[in-house]
Amino acid sequence: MISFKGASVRYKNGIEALRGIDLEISEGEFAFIVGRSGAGKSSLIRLLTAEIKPNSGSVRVNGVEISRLRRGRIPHLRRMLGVVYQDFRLIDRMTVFENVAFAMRAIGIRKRRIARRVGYVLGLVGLSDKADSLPSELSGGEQQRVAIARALVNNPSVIIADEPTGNLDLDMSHEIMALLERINALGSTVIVITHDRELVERFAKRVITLEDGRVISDKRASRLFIDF
Amino acid sequence: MKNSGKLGYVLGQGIGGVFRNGVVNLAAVGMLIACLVITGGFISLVLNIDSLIDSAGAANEISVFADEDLTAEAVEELGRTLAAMENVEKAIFVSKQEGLESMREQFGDLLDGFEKDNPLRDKFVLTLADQDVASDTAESVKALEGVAKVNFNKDVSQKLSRIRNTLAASGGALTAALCLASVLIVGSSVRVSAYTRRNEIGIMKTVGATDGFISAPFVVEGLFIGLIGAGAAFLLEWLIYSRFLLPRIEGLSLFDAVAFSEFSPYLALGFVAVGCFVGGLGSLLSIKRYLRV
Repeated sequence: MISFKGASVRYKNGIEALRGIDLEISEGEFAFIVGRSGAGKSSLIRLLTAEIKPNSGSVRVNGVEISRLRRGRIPHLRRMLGVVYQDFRLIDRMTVFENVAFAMRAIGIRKRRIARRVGYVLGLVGLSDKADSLPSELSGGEQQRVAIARALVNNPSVIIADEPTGNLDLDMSHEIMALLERINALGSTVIVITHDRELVERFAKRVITLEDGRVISDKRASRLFIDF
Repeated sequence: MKNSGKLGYVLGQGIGGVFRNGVVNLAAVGMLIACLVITGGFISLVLNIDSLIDSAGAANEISVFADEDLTAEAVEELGRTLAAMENVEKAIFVSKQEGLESMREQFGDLLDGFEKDNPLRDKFVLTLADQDVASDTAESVKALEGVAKVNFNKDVSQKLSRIRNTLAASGGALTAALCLASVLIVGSSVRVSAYTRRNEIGIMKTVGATDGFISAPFVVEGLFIGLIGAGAAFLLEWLIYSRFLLPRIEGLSLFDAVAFSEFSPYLALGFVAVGCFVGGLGSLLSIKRYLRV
């Protein structure tokens, strides 16, 4: 479970990115976080991944208190999280298989286990037949699916997707969202940060709206129109 | 991944990095070679001066010439007095006949005819216990009755010691400066390597790789640069010293030059230690900034 209690972030340049956020996201939940640029969405993610610590308040991920987390324990927290970025962040010289396997090698998993797990995850994202392709040979949607496979491969309990459809057309965006829904159905908590109003309206999920560093609405609705 | 698997990954990535950034790393290796060869040059110079000091120490004896009109008994008595003096380790008597023979060995026929009218004096060669107070001992000997003359090469070994110490100090300072420059250059080279792989480092950080696991290949890369530099510097040092310097020093016939084999094991160990230190430190310092995510 993820919880924010009065969490505030003020950067060294004086900007108050988050002001007393109170929020809970349960295990297995699917939530959109929406808001204009500068609303505090990225700071929220940076708090979850322990890139920054709150200046005040508390942030807990699966029982781990971020503000008290020692530097040496941060990697262990990040292994509970899978992060997907708008720009995919794939390694160009590596094949699809190698890109996904890289996430496992990076935390010291054995080769034999890597081969089995990567094969399974590529099947899950529908890219088994592209395992030997280079990222440059794939469409944008396929590249994002590789990035999702990489985020999934270490079996994290939370998937955080930061504008995952930002570089994709509508059909591909829907494809990626459907994939994230499937992953959520398999038990992972999924948090999607997006600007895409159409996407939020189409996929009826919990929607947390941020503005000026505060949560201004938190709606668990089926079909809704969000003002952002 | 078992530890062997992790080691394989770290070594593979680290050694791969040495060749991936070949040109930049070549500059780092070159700098390290220059640093180590200059250091080795100073070391060999200091060792040879030590050898020269030893030779000069033997030559740094006091020759005491007896008055011509001293009787054989008086000369013997003078010998006993000299041997009993403070700071005199031994006093060897060289008769004027022995002196002439010794000179004839050097100058040959030139000294023919001097047997009948030997112009030399009986002398004592004194070996001193402490070279530092050689001047005082020489003065005391001069004051003795029956002493005609005292020959003494003033402070040769002391002067050589001073030169050696100056060389060792300036060599040490130059080496420290060059090592620092090498650390910076190896650091820059590894920084280039880390920059080209910043995307991978970012992904590793995101998925929960530890800083140690991320840094290890870069440290291995730095260590390999250090080892390659050390190996190349050792070969170059051997080539310069054994093939170029040693024959010339031996040609001077002034003292026993130090053979390369006498100090090469220590030099090799020193080069490897300095190379690894410089490479490892340079890498650690430069990778640090890429871990702040």
